[in-house]
Amino acid sequence: MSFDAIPGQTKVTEFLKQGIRQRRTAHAYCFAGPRGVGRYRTALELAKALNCDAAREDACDRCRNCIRIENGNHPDVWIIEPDGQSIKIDQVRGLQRAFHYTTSENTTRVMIIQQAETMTVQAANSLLKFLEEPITPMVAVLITEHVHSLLPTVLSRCQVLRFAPLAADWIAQKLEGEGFNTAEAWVAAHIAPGLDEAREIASIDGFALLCERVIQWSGEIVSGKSDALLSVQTKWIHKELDKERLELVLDLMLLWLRDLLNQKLKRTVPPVFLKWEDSCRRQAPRWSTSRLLHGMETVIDARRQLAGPVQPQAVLEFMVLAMQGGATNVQSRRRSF
Amino acid sequence: MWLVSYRALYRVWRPQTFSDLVGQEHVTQTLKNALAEGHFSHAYLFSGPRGTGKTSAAKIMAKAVNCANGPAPEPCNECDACRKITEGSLLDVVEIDAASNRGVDEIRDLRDKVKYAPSEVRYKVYIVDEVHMLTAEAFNALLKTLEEPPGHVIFILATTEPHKLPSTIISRCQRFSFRRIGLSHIVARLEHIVQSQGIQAEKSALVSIARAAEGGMRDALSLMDQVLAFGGDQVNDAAVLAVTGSVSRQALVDMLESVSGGDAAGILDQVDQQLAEGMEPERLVQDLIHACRDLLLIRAAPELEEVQNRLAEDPSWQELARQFSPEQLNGVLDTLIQAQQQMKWAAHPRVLLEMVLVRVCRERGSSSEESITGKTVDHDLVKQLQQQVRRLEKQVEELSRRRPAPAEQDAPSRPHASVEVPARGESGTPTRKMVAGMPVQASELAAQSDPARLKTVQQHWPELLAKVKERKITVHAWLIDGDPVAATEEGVLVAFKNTIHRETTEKEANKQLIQQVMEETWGSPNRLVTIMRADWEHLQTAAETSVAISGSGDRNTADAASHSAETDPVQKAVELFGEELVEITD
Repeated sequence: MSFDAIPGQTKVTEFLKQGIRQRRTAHAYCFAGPRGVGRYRTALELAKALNCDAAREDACDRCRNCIRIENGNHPDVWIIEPDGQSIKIDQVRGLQRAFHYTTSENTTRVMIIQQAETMTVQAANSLLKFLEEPITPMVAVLITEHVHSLLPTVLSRCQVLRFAPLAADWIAQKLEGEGFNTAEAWVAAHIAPGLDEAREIASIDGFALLCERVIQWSGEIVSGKSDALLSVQTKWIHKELDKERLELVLDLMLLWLRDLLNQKLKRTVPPVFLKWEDSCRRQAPRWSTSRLLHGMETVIDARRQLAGPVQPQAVLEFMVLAMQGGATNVQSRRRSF
Repeated sequence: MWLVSYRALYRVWRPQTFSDLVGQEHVTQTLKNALAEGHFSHAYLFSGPRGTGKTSAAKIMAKAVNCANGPAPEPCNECDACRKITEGSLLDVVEIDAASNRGVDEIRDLRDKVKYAPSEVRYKVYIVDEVHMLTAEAFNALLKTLEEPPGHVIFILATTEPHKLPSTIISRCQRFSFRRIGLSHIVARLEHIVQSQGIQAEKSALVSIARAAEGGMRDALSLMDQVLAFGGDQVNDAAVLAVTGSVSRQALVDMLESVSGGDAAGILDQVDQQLAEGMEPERLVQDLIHACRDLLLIRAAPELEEVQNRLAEDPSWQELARQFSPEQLNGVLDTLIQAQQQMKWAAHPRVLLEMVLVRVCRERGSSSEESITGKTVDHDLVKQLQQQVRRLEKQVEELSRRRPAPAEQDAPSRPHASVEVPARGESGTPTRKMVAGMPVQASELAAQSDPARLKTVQQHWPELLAKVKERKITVHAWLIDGDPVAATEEGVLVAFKNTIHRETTEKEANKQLIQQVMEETWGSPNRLVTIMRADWEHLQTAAETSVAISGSGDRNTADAASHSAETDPVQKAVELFGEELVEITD
């Protein structure tokens, strides 16, 4: 592996290479971006390139240092991961203690903090002075998904490098090459930011059926019939789908609504649900644009609530009711006596 | 092998004198005066946002009181003491990272050492950085020492979050609040650095950096570092855009032009293109917010210095600003800012971005109809009125051609119906009465039906239903049974499956409400004509040879009919739960 072997992140890798070439490597970076797009890989490559015997802008992958880093047993490359739910202050203190000792000559220490947003307030604060004025030559790499949940004081000490989600057509092509169905690969590529996750999604049993069910469900919702509520039970909850799968269902729903919106606006972009283009054309006239927008917002809300400690069934039912004309508008069929 | 020997710009260019500390004159002037007169306090608290110079000020202060040529308002930076403090090797100036040493034990240790006299210089200076992270016990252990330290000790506490400090600590310190550094100060400092490094830099690029830094000098220098690493020893707009991930001004102008034109599809295409070039949705929203703010400034305060300096030269911005009213810009800004908040946690920021832009485009479209201010708006309104007048004229003509008698007979209870119309600015009442009087109306309308018009009607039908629902939910319940099957510029023919639905919809009050909504939706008065589906099919087969009616709409509705038949909720409930459990109470 080397910088060049990381797909789809040439912007970042070129920047790092240039930094090494010009001896302008900063002492703290923050790699921000979605999962599975090569942030950790890039951090490792940076560590290798900085410590490589060949002393070029990229790792040689043959020298002792490169091999040791690759295998995860280089003494001066530290990787911190959340201990349970969060990164604790003791982990950071341990690291600082270790970095107090001088290292062998010509070594650049690298510390990589995975999921840096999970650092406790104490841990993040204790990193501040250390990040600002490191004692030994070192490079810190903070890897995070939510750059906004890092302390602003931490962030202002780092150079932030953004990792873009991989291009959907690239992922789709790769998946197709691996023998996945074209239509399914295309949908999966739009949902996941990285290749591995897309592969996982595409290889779900009956993924096409899942898509179809979502489309059907949205049809039920727009028709205003109470079947849509029933479907929450029969289609999703009853099947004992786990939380992750339900999140996937909502993501599919969101993309489907987006397809409908594109259709409504008469845009010429290829839809995410290629195979179901006909259904899209048929369903689009039944939605009004404002209702679509409202619906999408509701789905996004539901998606966020699903992550919290709420019963998934309640979340889905609320979503359906809200999409069908506002939960406050829902009236009981039963007359008051 | 490479060594990271490079020192970040913000470390190299840490201010070494009070006059270097830009943007904080209210602090530096006070400190300088105190130093000049020789009465300084034993405890200071420096608070303020990141990158505004708190730690730097503390270090300069330590040098100034201990300088061999002082104490003077500015340290000399040449004597032994000054140099050693800058290096951090003087034992009497202690910099404590309170975030790492936050326990009561560390503070006790400090308290024990405080009493020893300084070894090399006049004062022992304790700089306690990130002091907000001390534990409550540690703070309390510090209280007595902070209040009455030995004469040779100065405490300087620095923090970004002064509200986390107990008030007992704050009351024992002289407090200085550092402000965010103004744009012009940052730019000036950047220019100074660039010049002394011998780097080529464009002024506009430096302004962009300063903007992105949001008032933090360290952020600005970090960015500058990044730009230099990206573009070699060149600081230009392109490099800054690449590093901050911002959108070019031209692209922003294009997008806002789409917004002002209400062109949702166009703006989405532009977003596609931007994202394909590696732009991030979040960044895009932020840039749009900044752009809208600029437009708002041009509109609302054209004489402002910032506007004169930065925005006046650009004719495309001036032009763009004229297309929006301040109220509209406010609305757009609101929507965008709300979206920015949501986007921080959203799983699909891109979809959210698209939604927001579509919404902004639509809001822009609708607000022009509603508000009565602004040029474009007036234009729309005039057009609408013209249409209405033309229609009224036609009605009058028609009425006079027919004998007026049936109309009067038809509605003896409300003889002034036709007078009411222009006064209320609504129409429909007289037309409707005409319609009711004539059963042939349906077939006439069917014959004149315009397929293109029908298509738009069908497209807006869900919207119309929603609006009706807002007004009166029961009317919506009746109307939902019907589908538009034919339409002209003046009327819509709706086919019903159930007689009761049709009859209730036909009721005076209901019909009036629906026609009113129609007028609002399409901007012109429309008649509502109803028909039974069976009759409609009959009529259609009869007229098939002569009239070409859009078949697609018919197929659509037929689809819907079969769909609803197979998914009657009551039937389904019986299927699922069994007959005994289902109770139908409607």
